[in-house]
Amino acid sequence: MGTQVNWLDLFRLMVRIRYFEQTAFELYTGGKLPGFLHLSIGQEATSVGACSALRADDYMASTHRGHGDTIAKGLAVEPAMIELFGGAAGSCRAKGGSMHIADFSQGILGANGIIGAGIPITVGAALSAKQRKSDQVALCFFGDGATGIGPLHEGMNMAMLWKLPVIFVRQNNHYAESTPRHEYQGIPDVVRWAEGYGMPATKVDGNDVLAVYTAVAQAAARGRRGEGPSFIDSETYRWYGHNIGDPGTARPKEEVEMWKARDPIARFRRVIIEHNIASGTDLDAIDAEEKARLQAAAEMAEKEPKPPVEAALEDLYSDPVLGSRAIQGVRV
Amino acid sequence: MRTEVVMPRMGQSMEEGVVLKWLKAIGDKVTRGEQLVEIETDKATVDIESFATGTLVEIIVSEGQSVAVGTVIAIVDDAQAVAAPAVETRTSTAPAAVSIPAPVAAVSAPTSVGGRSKPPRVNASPLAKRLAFEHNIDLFAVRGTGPGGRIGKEDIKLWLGKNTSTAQPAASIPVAAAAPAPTVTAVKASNGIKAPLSKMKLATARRMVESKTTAPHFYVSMDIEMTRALELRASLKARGKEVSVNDLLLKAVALALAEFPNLNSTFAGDAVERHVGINLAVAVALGEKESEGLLTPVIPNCQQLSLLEIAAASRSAIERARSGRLNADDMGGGTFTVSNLGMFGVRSFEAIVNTPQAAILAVGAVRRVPAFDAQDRVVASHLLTATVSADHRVSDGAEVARFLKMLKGYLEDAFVLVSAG
Amino acid sequence: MTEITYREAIRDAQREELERDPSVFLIGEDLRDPWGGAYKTTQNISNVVGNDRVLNTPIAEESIIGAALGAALTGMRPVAELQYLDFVMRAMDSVVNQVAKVRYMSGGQAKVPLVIRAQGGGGKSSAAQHGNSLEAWLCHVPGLFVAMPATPYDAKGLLKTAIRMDDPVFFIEHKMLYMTKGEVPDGDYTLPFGVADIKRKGEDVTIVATSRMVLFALEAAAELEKEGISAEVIDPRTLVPLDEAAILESVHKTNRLVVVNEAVERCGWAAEVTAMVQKCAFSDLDAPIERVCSLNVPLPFQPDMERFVLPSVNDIVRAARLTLGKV
Repeated sequence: MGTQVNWLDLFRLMVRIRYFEQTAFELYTGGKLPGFLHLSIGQEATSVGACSALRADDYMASTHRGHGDTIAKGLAVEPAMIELFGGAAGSCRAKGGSMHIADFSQGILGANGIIGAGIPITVGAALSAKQRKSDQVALCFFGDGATGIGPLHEGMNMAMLWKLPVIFVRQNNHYAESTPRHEYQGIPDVVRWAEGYGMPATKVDGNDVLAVYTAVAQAAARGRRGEGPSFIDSETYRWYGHNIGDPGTARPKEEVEMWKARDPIARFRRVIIEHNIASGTDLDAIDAEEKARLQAAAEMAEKEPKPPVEAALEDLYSDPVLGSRAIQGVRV
Repeated sequence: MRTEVVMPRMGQSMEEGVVLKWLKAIGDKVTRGEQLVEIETDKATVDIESFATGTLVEIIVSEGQSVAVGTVIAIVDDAQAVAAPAVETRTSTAPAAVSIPAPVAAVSAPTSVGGRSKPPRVNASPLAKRLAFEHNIDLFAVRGTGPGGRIGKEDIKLWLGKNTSTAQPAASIPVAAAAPAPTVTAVKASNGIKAPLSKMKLATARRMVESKTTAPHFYVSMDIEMTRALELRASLKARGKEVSVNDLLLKAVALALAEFPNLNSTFAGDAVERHVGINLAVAVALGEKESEGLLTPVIPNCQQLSLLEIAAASRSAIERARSGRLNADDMGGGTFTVSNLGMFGVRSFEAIVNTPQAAILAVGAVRRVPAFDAQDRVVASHLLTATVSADHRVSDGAEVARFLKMLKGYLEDAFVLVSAG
Repeated sequence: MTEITYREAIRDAQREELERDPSVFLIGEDLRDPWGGAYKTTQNISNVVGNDRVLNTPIAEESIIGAALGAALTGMRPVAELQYLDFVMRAMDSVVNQVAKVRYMSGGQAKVPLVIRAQGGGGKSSAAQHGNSLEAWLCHVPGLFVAMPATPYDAKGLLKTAIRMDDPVFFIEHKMLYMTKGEVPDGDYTLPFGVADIKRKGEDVTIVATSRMVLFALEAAAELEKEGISAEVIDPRTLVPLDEAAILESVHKTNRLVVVNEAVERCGWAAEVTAMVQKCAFSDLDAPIERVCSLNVPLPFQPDMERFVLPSVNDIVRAARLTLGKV
């Protein structure tokens, strides 16, 4: 992937994510989706800018708030929507759900329900690339909520130690669930930590999709050249609470409104028009297409059949014989 | 197009919400994303945004009302014709139904004496119970040498070793073709036919020996005046209800045993296990002339049965015993035995305790004899001699005497046998 | 056949698999030569295959296992070592929530050809934090296979199989077994998972034992023989999957069962076998099933106290006699 990225592709992806999340929100509050829902509305530029700077065969691990990241990395929305409903044809065959959604064929090592768990896995994927003498890189998304978790620091140390092509991308939306920075972060600027660990570190405006793209592209190039890991602190904001059920008491309403006014999609729309890449009408058309696609996906996904409950006994082990014995207990 | 506004599910555990305040009034324009109503959940107060753009045309749930999640609370209309979206039908292939083989069923343990509320339990390992079932052994006849008197495999093996028939019918002895003729030793002095003991008789023999050699027997006899009991019997018969003297005895024994739980028990080495259920075993002798064996079918839980119920159960059990139709359920769990030789005119006799039961009652015939009443006048009396044989490890003479006295009291005040339930 | 130590069996299995398959690599603390591992189970390997296939890591168990998982998900076949089984607690999320579950949560997309080796057990005054037996915790996690060999022959064959499997295996060794000796075939051989080994045939009582306790059970069986009691000793070798049939067949024959497991008694692996046997062989049992396990306390430092807490040969003898009604 060179420096020439199709801006309209970036725009389309962001819009697609926005509509996916809004659709999920409606469906969830309408009581149609089981489990938890963690929306990433407002963070589209970080997801899309970063993943668009990766190759299809590069690796990416995400968080519990992973819809945007995974769609940006190539997760198809129709199977993803089915997965949210728990349908048999879901991305994870109804076994994972929102927090664990994955598509390994797109290099997506999965969304993850445990804070920081994706980090060592990403380090391992980068290690694997190095062992195989491949120029793949591995990007790990984590929230500012992971700032204090052990594996983040273990991972940064390891990546630096072995010069692994890991791209650490912190999606800093300023809140760890309900806890603001001054209650979880020891120093004002974690970029200093990353530098302290020895790797190039930069801070970007996470709502500027081109800025994120550029930073990740540079980090990927470094990784492919064998120069080791990079750290990107991407500043953004989520419009909605931590999850549906968040009482909304953690953040001041004015702060939320201020960030909504910095909508990354609206902003990029202006940039595209100003640079004469496309017209407002063109962008409206893209918007309408994605909206229709997501609406169709939701209607389709709702009608999709659920798997038989016995499917809960499948997909645990690769070995069918030993696996069946391990699950069943008494050998037949 | 009319869009329903529903009480949203604002959290995994939310079941219902309260409409606190409508932020728009009927007729107001509302745009998608605009706050429409304030609701209260179990956790917090939240503003709910509208998912549709249009006019608020109906408010269905008013402020202050609590409704379940999913209830329609308002309608927003955008006054446009509904355009049916093109829906791509995708053929989805559901994974093939997986049939999971059921795990191998456990080797089925024999069904315990079932269906009855708490028959006395025998202390035996699961294996011993299975073996007893397979070999048709009455576990109450087997002595256990395990901890707490538990019957184990070895005890069953021992029992089987002493109780297997030794005789073989001639037909089953294979004769090898070229084998020399066996030398026949002359059988001296016996002009009789050796009749092999049946399995049942062998079992009885074994049990009797064990009882007599391990339980120190003592005997207490008492005469019971049966006139009123016979009157009761006649009275019932007049109303079409047949009860035998034995049935009256069984009912009286059940009532008396309720007062003497020590006699409704089984000896267990260093303890006496008292049983809640009074399960009376009725001795039934088989054979028209010669003994063809003795069975003791059990009527369980006599403490819960009326005289008529006992009579019916007894009749049924005796009939089944005579026709060889008793099953395992009939045989186990007895706590006290009643043996009656009255039908033969016997005056009295002493029975052998059916160990591990504590005692057995033997009765003879009712005989008509002269007796003195309270005014020393001679009156006709119907006497029955009842003899209790008891295990002196469990009981003593005084206790048995008191039991007999109580039994006598019930039979002499016979109508209590129908009124005492 | 050659006689080698348990330690050498583990080492040889790893080296042979590294030579056989270029996607295998080792990862853990202190693995490289000349140190060759805290218990010398990776000695003379990096000398042979090179440092880039034997990785020394920082002390960071959560990430050692997490990184091994990441590598396993992306085309490699790592063998990770936890220096002490006790340190798995530092890595429990990686083991339980990630390694064991990623295949399932992804609906079968992920494949995890990962082996995690660790040594556990007491007997060396290693005290409470370095002698835990945690196999019950790992058996309790659907998605893992668990192996626990007791002899060099079993160790080498099972480890080779584990490395060649496409599923995650937790391979539990014992610090007191490393110097024990046994015969192994020359040349390549593997042993199947889910097949127990009857280490001693007998008629009167079945003794199922794991790891070091297998050796104790064999000693106990020799003792019991002197008083005419013939004990059958079964080594399951793998706890998940478990060879239930072998145990049930034996109990059907002997009617008595003693389960010996070094872990603390309460909620330990022995309870699982007990529950399984009483369910599936209820009518074969002539006596209650006996468990011989550690007392419900941490391992004390002082050697005599440690011996008191751990199961002993005498405990096994007494338990067997108890099932036969002897005191």
